Amino acid sequence: MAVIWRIFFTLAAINFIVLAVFVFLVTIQFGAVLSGSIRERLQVIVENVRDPFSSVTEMGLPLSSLRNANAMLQRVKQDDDAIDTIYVYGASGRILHSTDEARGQSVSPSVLASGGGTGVQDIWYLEDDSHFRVGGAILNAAGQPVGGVAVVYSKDNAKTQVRAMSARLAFYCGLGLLAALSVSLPVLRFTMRRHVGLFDALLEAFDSFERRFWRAPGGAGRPAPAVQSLGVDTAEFSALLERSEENYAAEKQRFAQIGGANNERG
Amino acid sequence: MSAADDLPGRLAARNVVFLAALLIAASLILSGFAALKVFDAAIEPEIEKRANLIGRSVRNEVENALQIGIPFNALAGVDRYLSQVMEDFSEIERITLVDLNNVIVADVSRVRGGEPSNILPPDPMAGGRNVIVSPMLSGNTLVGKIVLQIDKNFVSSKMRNILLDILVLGLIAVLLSFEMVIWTVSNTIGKPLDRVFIVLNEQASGVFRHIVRVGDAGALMRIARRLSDRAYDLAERGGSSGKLASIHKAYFSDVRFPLFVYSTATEISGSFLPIYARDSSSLSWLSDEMAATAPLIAYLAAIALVSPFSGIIASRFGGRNLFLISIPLTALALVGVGLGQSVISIALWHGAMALVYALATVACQEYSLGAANKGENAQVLGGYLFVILGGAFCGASLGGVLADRIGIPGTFFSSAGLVIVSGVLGYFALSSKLDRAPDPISAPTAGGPVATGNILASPRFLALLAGVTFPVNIGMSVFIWFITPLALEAEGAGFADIGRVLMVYYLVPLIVGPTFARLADRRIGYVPFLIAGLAVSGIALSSLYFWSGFWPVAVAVAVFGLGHSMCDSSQYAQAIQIAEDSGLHKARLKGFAALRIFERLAAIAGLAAAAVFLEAVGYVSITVLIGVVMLIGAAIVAVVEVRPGGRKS
Repeated sequence: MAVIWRIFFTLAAINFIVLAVFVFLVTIQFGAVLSGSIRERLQVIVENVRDPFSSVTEMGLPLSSLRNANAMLQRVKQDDDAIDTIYVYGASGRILHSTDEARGQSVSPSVLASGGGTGVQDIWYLEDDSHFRVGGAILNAAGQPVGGVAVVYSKDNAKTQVRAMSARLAFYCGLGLLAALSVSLPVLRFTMRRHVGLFDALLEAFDSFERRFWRAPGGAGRPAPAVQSLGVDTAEFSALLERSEENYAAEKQRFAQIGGANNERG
Repeated sequence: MSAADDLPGRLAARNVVFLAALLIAASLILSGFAALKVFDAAIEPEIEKRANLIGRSVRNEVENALQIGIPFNALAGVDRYLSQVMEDFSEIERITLVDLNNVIVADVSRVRGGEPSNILPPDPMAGGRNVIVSPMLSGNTLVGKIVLQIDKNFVSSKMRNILLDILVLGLIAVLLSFEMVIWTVSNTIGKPLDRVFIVLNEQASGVFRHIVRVGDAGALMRIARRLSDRAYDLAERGGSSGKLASIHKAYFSDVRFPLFVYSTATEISGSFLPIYARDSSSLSWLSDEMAATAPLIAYLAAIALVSPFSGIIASRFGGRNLFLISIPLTALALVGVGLGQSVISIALWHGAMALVYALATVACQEYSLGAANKGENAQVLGGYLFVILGGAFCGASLGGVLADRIGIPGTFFSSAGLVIVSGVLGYFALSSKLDRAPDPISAPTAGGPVATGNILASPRFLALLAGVTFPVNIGMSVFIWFITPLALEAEGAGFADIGRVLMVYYLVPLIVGPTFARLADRRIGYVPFLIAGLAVSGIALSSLYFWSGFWPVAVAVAVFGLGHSMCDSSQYAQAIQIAEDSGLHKARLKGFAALRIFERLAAIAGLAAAAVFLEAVGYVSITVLIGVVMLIGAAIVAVVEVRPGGRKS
């Protein structure tokens, strides 16, 4: 039976590793899909926020001239709890309108480099451990960038979603593993019946051989039934045991004789 | 271990591996199903947020138009606008604007698998899980609603890559379980039986010099103890108890699992190495094509360099020691490739890795042959090739998946970790004592390339080299290692997809190799198999003249793999046949050495030529040319072998 348990634990370990890798791959894929979806959504938000500012700058007015801009940004921010900040910055990088207290401060060089370059009209995207940052340049009538808009989006919710998905999947995979292993044990015992049977037969033949030493002469009882399995014959095994025992006895006798002769000489 | 004694272990392994495959498949199917459901549920809030945002955006745009006085039923250009929204958001299946009388004002839907279209299918306007309805106002008057329908298959389409990865993962797991089960069954059934019977047979013939350690006897420990006690007793009586040795025999199964892991680790860059090297190149004097082939050429040159001496080195150090010495060096070289900031550095580290790879694999080959009994060399060599190929298969596919997920440097660092794991396995599994010296066939380097003049003069051997060895190895190195990754990348395939295609090339010989070898040995003969293999591979490559794209290349890779597996085993068997027919002294050893060196030289020459001419003539022309060379090779073998006196036996 030891062999069955060893193989069972080997199979369980392989299956566990495979499922762990599976959960890892699905989690990575889910994280990538979720990030991509959030990025696309933030892109739409940026475009929606940018439109009224673009209307102003295309008329040749400065970005700071849009009235109630902060309130407008606040309305967009309230649509999603995960939005930390939305701000509008000028060509110099100074923040002109913001949903937080950042007004008057300067945006980070990476934001300026992503969104402020001449001719950059596309939406840009930055990501760090804690935030997604998506933005886009605001152009004047000549198509020159005069500033930009940026949305800072917290990753906390996304991370929680990924962890929750991973935990649920791991739970279901654990259940699947248990189900598969519970079926595999009886199947394994059936598959290995010839091997287990052979080992049992060898041990039985050995017991029968040993019993002769414990019982009175001639009391060895019934010999163990011969089993032929997987290229091994237990009858041959018993014969080898007998022959080796005879050789062992002969060797002992030889040593005894040598010892006796030495004693006589001594 | 004799073939008969090994039988119980092998039979058990076969049965158990089948069970393991079923178990893993069942678990993965269940888990895949669960993953789809969990993935779907987890992504749903985000999809809803996106859909609501799209609905709001569309509603605002339409309401703006209504506010400037355009009637709801007369909105111009709205279909074009809605089509643009659908192009931006792949999960939206249909957007419909409906007035208060449920009359459709605008309707854009996506024909699955195609571009957005203006087909107007009748659709119930009921809400539901996949439908989002948003009312529209003109001033403060309700004028209609916008209905967004979400594609139910959006999540499953996002899972496609994962499902393909699961398939690869399942195949890797089956191969892994095969090796692990062989290891376990060998240690619990085969080896205990073997050890007990060896000592028992010795004692039955009057020899009491060996013992079986109880820990080595598994379930047969009582028998082992009894047999060992006899030996201890007689040794004490004779005053020589210190001379008793335990049965300490090397087995081929010892080396299988460490070698499998080692091969997996070292082949992990199969799907992306040319791309990695090309993208790392910033040297103006080195073309992209040369940069892409540089690591492969360094690899082949290093192997060709060390091949003539590897047998001698393995004999000097011993298989176990050489394998263990190679481990830290291989890991270091893989880290070096991963850190490589320039193509020169990548090529040098990869060449260094090839040097130790050649030594480590020859060490394992020597160990395997040393562990094999007489008459089992072919069987052991077949098993050895199976393990190497299985590892290469796992490495190529695993590398593609990993590189897509964690990046190329991380993949190389992971492979260095795997190499260390293989070393730990080898440390515990490999025996430091071999019962007999390795068979001379394993040390073909004695002759070396210079001393092979006699066998090289044989027209049949020359035909084998020119007709089979050269084209097959050029095909493998140029088409599989070099052109396939670049061609598939040009078709837009990612590392994972390239890895999956290359995986097929390694998978085919694993499936059909043993059957082909048996057929070639017994029924069909080596020459017909070589000709058929060359023809199949040649046609596969030449066919790319008529069709191109991702799937044609994938099919060509698979069929080339089929033809290559027909040639692979037959090539060496034919070399032995020619050597034996020639009657020359050590012709077989010299023939093997020549074959191995010419294999590498052909691969190097092919890669160098391909790198030089690729820009001028393109992928397709080179591939077709190799195919034609293979067909010519088939003709050469046919003419030389079929001509009168071509075959002595």
